Amino acid sequence: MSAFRFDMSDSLPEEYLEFAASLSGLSIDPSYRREVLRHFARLLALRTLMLEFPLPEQVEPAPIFHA
Amino acid sequence: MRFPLSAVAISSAIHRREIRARDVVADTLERLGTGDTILNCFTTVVTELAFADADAIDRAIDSGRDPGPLAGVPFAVKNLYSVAGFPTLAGAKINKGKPPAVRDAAAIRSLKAAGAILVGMLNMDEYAFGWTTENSHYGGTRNPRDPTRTPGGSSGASAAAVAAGFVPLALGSDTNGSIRLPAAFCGVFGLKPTFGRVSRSGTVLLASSLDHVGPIAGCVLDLATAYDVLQGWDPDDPVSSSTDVDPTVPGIGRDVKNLRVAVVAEEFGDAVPEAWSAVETIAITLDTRQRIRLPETDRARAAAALITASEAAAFHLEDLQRRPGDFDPLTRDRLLASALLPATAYIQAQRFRAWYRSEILRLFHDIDVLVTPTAPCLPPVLGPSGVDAATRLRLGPFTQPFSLIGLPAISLPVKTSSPLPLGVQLVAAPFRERVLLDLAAHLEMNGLLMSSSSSPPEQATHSSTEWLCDQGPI
Repeated sequence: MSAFRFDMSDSLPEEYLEFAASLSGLSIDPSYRREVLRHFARLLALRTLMLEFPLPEQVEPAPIFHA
Repeated sequence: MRFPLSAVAISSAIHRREIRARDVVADTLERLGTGDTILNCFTTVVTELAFADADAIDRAIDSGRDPGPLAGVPFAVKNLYSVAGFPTLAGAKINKGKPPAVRDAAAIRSLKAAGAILVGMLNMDEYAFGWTTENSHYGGTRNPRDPTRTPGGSSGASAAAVAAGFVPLALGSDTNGSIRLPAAFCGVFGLKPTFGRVSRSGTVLLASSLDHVGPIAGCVLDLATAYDVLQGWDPDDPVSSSTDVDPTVPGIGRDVKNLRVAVVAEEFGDAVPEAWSAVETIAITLDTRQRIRLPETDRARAAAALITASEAAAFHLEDLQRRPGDFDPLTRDRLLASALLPATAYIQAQRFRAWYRSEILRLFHDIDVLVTPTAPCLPPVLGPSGVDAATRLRLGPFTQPFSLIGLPAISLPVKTSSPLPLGVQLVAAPFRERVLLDLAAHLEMNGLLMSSSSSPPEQATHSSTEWLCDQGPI
């Protein structure tokens, strides 16, 4: 599970941030970067809570279509 | 002239021809014209529309027609509701230049069809992505109970406008708690109906799979009357439910003896002692000793936050690419971070949500109503740069788990020794809004709640429901 942990001292997220932003056509102004990184770190921590929870395989978010 | 404070009292006085809708509107506009300078609830006041609608109500009464259960009742809406002829701001500068809406939102149409009169649109956090109604474009809204504090958000101005007595009724929206939290902070009543129960058509969404709309009012009967008018299927909202409508006003508050009520165990979340003692007050009155533990609450909060973030970022991606500088800094940096999340986070959050829903629904086999605090704290103080940044994102731990799984929930203002308002949240199984409103009416009748009438009349009888709300000096 440690693979999901993210250490703020690690420089990887900032590189990821730049790359992922460019993939999505976003440019993150240097004056926003610190706050964006802080929020991204928070979201990654929440993501860890999701990924480390052992959900049964059959659980699915099923959309229901009606006639 | 002093008009009644409650919606039902205004409507009945109009039906009895004791007051005219035009005079109610004139009085409303005068009060908010002077009183809103400090609070900053309204972003638009629709004076001409309101008088035109009032005249139509007065004409209907004159010709013997019934304008409906909300005849002549002034109301206002969070500015993410479309109003024909005006751009739909949703708290954003970006939307200011967009073309005016061609049609009122479905919920506005429902209230107007029942005789209510729209008087204006209300401030909010940009795109409803916040808890404090701070807004860099339109200014922040202050709490009428203590203007040095936030009214909560994102429907903060909806709750504040009711608490200030500008309007007896307002509409808000709730993705993670945005109706319930401000209702609690402002000492008024807020109902988040079951997901899909009230149409969101004509509103700007924050996170489509989580968004609800609903009413905020000053007493239970006003809230129930509005809810009854609002509930029902709408083909224009893809998540609208075709479940039969279930009117809550007839017989409201009468049948609560057999309701099974439980209180959430304190491990549900950290809150100030006042919040738990407000819950205890309700528990003692209802004579319930049952404490319920909910599983995986922190993960439920995480799932709600991840779904909100991902859906909101996708919705606003184009503007984030083209004009990030036009966003409110308070929402921009979070939306940018959200746009970069891997899809697995979102999908796992949606899967977790399905699991959590089935776990919580199982608990509701044995209980009808769950009681929790609405907010973890008293309304935070607005400092020189607003609400403290760490506090700003920690206001929804008690509301978030229930909107995640679409359960109906109501926030009630409980009378306590605290000079600031405290809210208690009641939660029920899907489509059981009636149970929540019955219990709320029962608590109000017993004098436990801060209603727009401070106490019920002595001769409260069950032959009429009018005791529930202030009849007001006319």
